[in-house]
Amino acid sequence: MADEPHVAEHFDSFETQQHAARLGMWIFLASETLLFAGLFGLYVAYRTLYTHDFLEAAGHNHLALGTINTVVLISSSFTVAWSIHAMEHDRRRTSVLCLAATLGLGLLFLAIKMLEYGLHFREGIYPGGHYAFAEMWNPGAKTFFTLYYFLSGLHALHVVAGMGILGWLLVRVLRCTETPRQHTALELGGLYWHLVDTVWIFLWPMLYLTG
Amino acid sequence: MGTHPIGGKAYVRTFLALLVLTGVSVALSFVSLGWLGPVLAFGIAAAKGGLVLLFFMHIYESRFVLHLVVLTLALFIALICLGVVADVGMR
Repeated sequence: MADEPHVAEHFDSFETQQHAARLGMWIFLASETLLFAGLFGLYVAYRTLYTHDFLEAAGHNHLALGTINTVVLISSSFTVAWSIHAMEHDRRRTSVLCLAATLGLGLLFLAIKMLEYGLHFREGIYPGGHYAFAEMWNPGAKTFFTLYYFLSGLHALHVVAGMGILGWLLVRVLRCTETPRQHTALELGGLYWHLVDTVWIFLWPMLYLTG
Repeated sequence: MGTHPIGGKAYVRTFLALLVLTGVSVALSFVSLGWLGPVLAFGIAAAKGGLVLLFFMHIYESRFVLHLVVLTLALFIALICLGVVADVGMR
């Protein structure tokens, strides 16, 4: 049968193979999250040291753009979940459309992020020693914006990586390599995209809401 | 992979809950709540992250070993952040 799932010889059943794939992916996601956790710890340390400066600097960020980006990523999490759901129910066309929508939302997120960076650059808000924003000239604000660029930049790299994975998955779904009975890659790729969304869910209050 | 028991309506409900919680966070950011402000903001973020993990990422219906991965991760993140606060805050 064309849709018969392939089971590697070292697994005794398809279910065991699925479980191993999910566990492996979750361990990878946990290690990715710990990378961000170290940076969250750094943020907490500096925010404890420069509480007032951090609140003032976060208040200067564009809350509307940050909030739109939050809604964009939450929506993209929903569309990728729906794509997998559609594949499970043998609705390939819906699955393709939802994956394409997720890619589009990822692109929109990056475009808004670039717009924000552009607005900051115009004011002289650069990371590290290049910081030149005279209106907020204190060590706390400099540290906040350096962390802002590092955290949001690292997250944006994850968005780019996630979009690469989603693009590859889109090709696999179009070529019928992913099937209703076996779509391990689609499910694991979806998990990665949800992680990207979850990290942003925490970055948003850290970088925008503290004002 | 096999059909997940969670799907369809649960995804829509999760999506709507995430949007509502985002709206609540924005509304609260305009109210001066003192120390309670960041507690609520990060509490809502944790609730949103929890919803994504439980329903979009299927932890709600997964095996115990995956719950163990997530719980260990949450514990490590809490230890990193609380340890740093204790260190810096008590100097």
